[in-house]
Amino acid sequence: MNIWVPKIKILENTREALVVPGGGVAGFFEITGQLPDGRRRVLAQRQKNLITDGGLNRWGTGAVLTNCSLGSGTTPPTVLDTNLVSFVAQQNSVTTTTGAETSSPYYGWSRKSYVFNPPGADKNISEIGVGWGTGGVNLWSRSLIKDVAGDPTTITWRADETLTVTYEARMYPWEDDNPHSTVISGVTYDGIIRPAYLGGAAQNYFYDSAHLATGKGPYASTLYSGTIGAATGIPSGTTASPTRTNSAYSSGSLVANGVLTAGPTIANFAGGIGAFWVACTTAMWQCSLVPTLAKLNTHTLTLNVNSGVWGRQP
Amino acid sequence: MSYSCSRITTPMYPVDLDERAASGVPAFSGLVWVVENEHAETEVPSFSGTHEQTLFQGVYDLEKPEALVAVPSPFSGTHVKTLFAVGYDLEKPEALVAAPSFFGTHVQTLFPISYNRETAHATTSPPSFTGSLV
Repeated sequence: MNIWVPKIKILENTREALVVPGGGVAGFFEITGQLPDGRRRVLAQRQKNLITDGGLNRWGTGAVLTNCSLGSGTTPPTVLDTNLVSFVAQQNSVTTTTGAETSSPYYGWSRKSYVFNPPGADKNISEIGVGWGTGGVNLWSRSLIKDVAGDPTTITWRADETLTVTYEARMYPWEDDNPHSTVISGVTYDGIIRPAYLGGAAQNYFYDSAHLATGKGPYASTLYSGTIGAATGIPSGTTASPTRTNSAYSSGSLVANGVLTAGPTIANFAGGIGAFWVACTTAMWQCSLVPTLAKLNTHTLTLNVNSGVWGRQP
Repeated sequence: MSYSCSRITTPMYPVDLDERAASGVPAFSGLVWVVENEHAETEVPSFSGTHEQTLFQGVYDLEKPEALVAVPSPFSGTHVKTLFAVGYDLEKPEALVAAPSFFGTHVQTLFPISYNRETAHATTSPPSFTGSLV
């Protein structure tokens, strides 16, 4: 049956600032080719892709950007996709650069470059996925390749052409302050949960897997005698390093948990503990405690902290 | 089941994109959606039902007719032959796509329905903690 309907236009939100408050992940890819004579061509301009449910869940336990796969399927992607429809090729070798956007909307990024050697025969490519499996399975993301008009298209990967897929994964942290009122052993502590190192390229880049307490590189969760700092910084004052333990990820929860433990010998600040900082790999955060938490050398302080729930960034 | 279909004569009005975007999911009423005042013949894939309030089981993103977009439930309607088409660009979940493909001979209700196929994991929450001092 045919009906007549008005042609529609996609109403696209171009105001990226609307994507805050955050807690979401996103991905973008582009594909370029290089012929033996050195000529380069853009086969797919930078375009957003879809993060799968499986990819979101995987982030809680392991690396999600291990490899890139190309295929010839044309089925529109869904969040339930786990594999390419029609696998063609995969590249496991990848080079990585990382960084962070330094103004709002903030996001940490990781750019992966997957270089595919010439296939030896022309290949039609219409779908792409990034993930951690072999043969186009276990996908963090899947997408149809689109032309400049945004329509799905098929590109021809020439027999003698080297193909480079550049994939950028992003994590948008929460930017806003979130007040808390937390009872710890019968005492109510108020304060603010605030991002930390917002825009910090070394601290808040997109990390391949989400975990909480043990930190990212040299950065590790810390207790402070002072209070929290700016969202681009961390708390101030005398510091103490608690024991940091990542909790087991609960499948489907999309949240990383961890435990900070300060035994009797540390963090017994004269004025109490005024703040702490959680060096979560998804996005770092800091928290103030009012009144300060008076810890004595007979106390063990245990803080059960989490990353917040992550999802897809709209 | 059969429908007699004719060229849609639905009035079309522009909307303020920024206003719409700022408000997120639109709360609108009336026969309003941004369209280009041109028509495209589109084959509707399938629909089910026996009588009034028959709703399409799927709609096409008219700019990407190969991309079948499921329409969520529940639906509500106020009158017969109310058809609508609301979908998301599968690749651009932030971009609500609405197609005023409703037609009929009587009341034509446009539903402020948004379908976010990513709803299940589009909602995030900020960090939190608990503690003990013993």
